[in-house]
Amino acid sequence: MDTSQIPYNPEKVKSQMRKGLLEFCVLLLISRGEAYANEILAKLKEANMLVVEGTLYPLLSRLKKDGMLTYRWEESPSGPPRKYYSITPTGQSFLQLLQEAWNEVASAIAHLQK
Amino acid sequence: MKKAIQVNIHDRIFYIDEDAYELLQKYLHRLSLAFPDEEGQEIVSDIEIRVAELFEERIVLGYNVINIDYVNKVIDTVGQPEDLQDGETVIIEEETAEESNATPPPFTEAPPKHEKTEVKKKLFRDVNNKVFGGVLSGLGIYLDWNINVMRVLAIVIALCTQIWPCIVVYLIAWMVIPPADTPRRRLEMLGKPVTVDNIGQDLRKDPDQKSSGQEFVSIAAKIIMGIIGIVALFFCGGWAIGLIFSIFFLIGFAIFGVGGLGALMAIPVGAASVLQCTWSMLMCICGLVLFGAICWLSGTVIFNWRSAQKGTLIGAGIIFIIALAASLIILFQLISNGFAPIPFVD
Repeated sequence: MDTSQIPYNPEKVKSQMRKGLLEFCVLLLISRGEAYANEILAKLKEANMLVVEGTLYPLLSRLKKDGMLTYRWEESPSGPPRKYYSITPTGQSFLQLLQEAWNEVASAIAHLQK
Repeated sequence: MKKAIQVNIHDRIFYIDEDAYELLQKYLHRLSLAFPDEEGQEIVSDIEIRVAELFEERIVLGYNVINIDYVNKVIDTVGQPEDLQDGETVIIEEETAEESNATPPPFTEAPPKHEKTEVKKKLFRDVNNKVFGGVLSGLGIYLDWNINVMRVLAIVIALCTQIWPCIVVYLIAWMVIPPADTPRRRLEMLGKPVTVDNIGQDLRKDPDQKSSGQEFVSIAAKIIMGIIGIVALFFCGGWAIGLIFSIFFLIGFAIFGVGGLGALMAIPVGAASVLQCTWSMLMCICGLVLFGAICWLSGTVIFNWRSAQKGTLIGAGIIFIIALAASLIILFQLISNGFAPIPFVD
């Protein structure tokens, strides 16, 4: 398929989709148990959800500010101390909402693609 | 040799090259401008920790010092401040960008990436695009001439002048013109302002890749330089033997008088004089310096020998000039004497 005719930059669209879903992904990951930035980064990269690592930090900061997440410091055996993030009850219920929203969107797309 | 700096990132000590340090500092500064408030400072601090971890990974691999390449890699991994803005901010930023036709985002104080202001160019050898020493490609950049035009022209001029003069001029230029072997020199050669951003960009887009054509040219150059080097080595041998003989003869003169040592060794010295022997010794020194330099240059092309220190070059140049001047004076004297041997003072 020739994509050169498309007026939008497909990479940009993709990265916007990723950005929109990143919040959901991060909450999902942390809801499974405490995690520090590196673990989250590794999983997001594995799932190809992240273009640059730095995107994660402003997001974590915002989620923390909004009371979805909380963190504690822990000394690391090697390197600087780590922030271990965990999800709050508010975060849990927000994640629930996001999960529902995602299911709706996914089924809508699936329905339209039929 | 490069200066390395010790930095402390979240209580971890790293050794980092000076240029790499400048780039990193600029990057962290831009980050703190992109995230100005209190929460922003925490974000920057988190990113700093991440940078420290990435450095740590590098150290674990056995690299003691962080260089600019690795800092660039880290910046690529972590992302430019412009790309790190959280969801909502991005939309606002893009709207303003469309309105004002892509002016730089307000949070960066950094100058626009493609700097238009041209600084005066400096003449360097373009060692990234070289056949022998990169003299012509450097000159091409300096004069804004196409490199192929330069090379063809050089060959034509060389053929018109019986080749040797051009080779000598080229070799001298090779020794005198400094190579553009650091990012700073490359930028000066291209006439771009030397800023940390530019250094970073130049390093990014120039990973020292060679096309197959260049590969072929450099192999051909190595073969030619190899032949030149071997011939020069033979000449060196000849000059060295000549030098030893003329020194022997001079010692002979000093000890035994006219033709003394030669007579002692049953060598027919004939009409050899002190002046003639001195002259041939000086010529041998000149030849040895010149052909030695050619040998060494071919070594730098073929075996990647390190370029000589400036002091060595200047020293060799001074010896060459003094020997040449003295030999010319003696030659003049010999000619004015009709090559007649001057009797040694008994």
